[in-house]
Amino acid sequence: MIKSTSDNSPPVRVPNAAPGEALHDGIALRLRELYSDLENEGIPDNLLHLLEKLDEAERSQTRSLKTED
Amino acid sequence: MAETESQRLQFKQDLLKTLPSLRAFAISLSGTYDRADDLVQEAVVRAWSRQDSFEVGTNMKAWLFTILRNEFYSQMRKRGREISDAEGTYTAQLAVHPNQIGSLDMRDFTAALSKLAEDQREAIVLVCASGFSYEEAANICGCAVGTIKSRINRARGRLQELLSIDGENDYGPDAHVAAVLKHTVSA
Repeated sequence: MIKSTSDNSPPVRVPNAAPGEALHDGIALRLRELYSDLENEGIPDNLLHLLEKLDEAERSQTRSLKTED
Repeated sequence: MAETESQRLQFKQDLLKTLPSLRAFAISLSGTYDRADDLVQEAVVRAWSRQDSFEVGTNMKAWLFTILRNEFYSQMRKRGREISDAEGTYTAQLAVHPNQIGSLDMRDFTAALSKLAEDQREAIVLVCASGFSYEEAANICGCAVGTIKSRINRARGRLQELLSIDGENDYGPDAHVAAVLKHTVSA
């Protein structure tokens, strides 16, 4: 269970604070945790296939251009 | 020709490296996995077709995020408000995903995040989670640095407000009652 980190680092409300200062409280930490969980889910296969197809299409296009020369 | 070949390989590798973060951003922005995957696919196709316009050595991640963000807002404009969170789809979709963290704490947080205005949510996500500087986030969103800062401040204030009120959930009879209470409080 995640304990609120605000005990350790009270939220600092400084309008012009650098990311390093203002963005390390409980809110920023939880946001980062959520985001990194999403990042760690991996890339869906259909996306990888799409990239392969795009790459392959360009390769064959380049090849056909070459043979035309 | 060999140069183009290696450039394309480099481009593809950089693109692949950025995909997990790009996808996390898309999910944070749209709130649903289906839409996020559509957005990422569209962004990848666009990025690929425009790879000549990408300047080697510049920030590929910021470039891709800009493309995805533009796509998101152009879809929003096309489809109108119906797709922008129809009361809770954002939270529901994120909460039911099997890989998603099940802790009550995190669900509260996701729910609070979903209640932010889009411009505030994207600002806080870009800077606090995606790791962009204020300047980079401002470029991605096409606004001034000061605007990004104030959106983040407003987002933080709103999240703190929502999360402290949502804390009642731990003691209240159920989420529905808590939601009604919250509504009454904020009214």
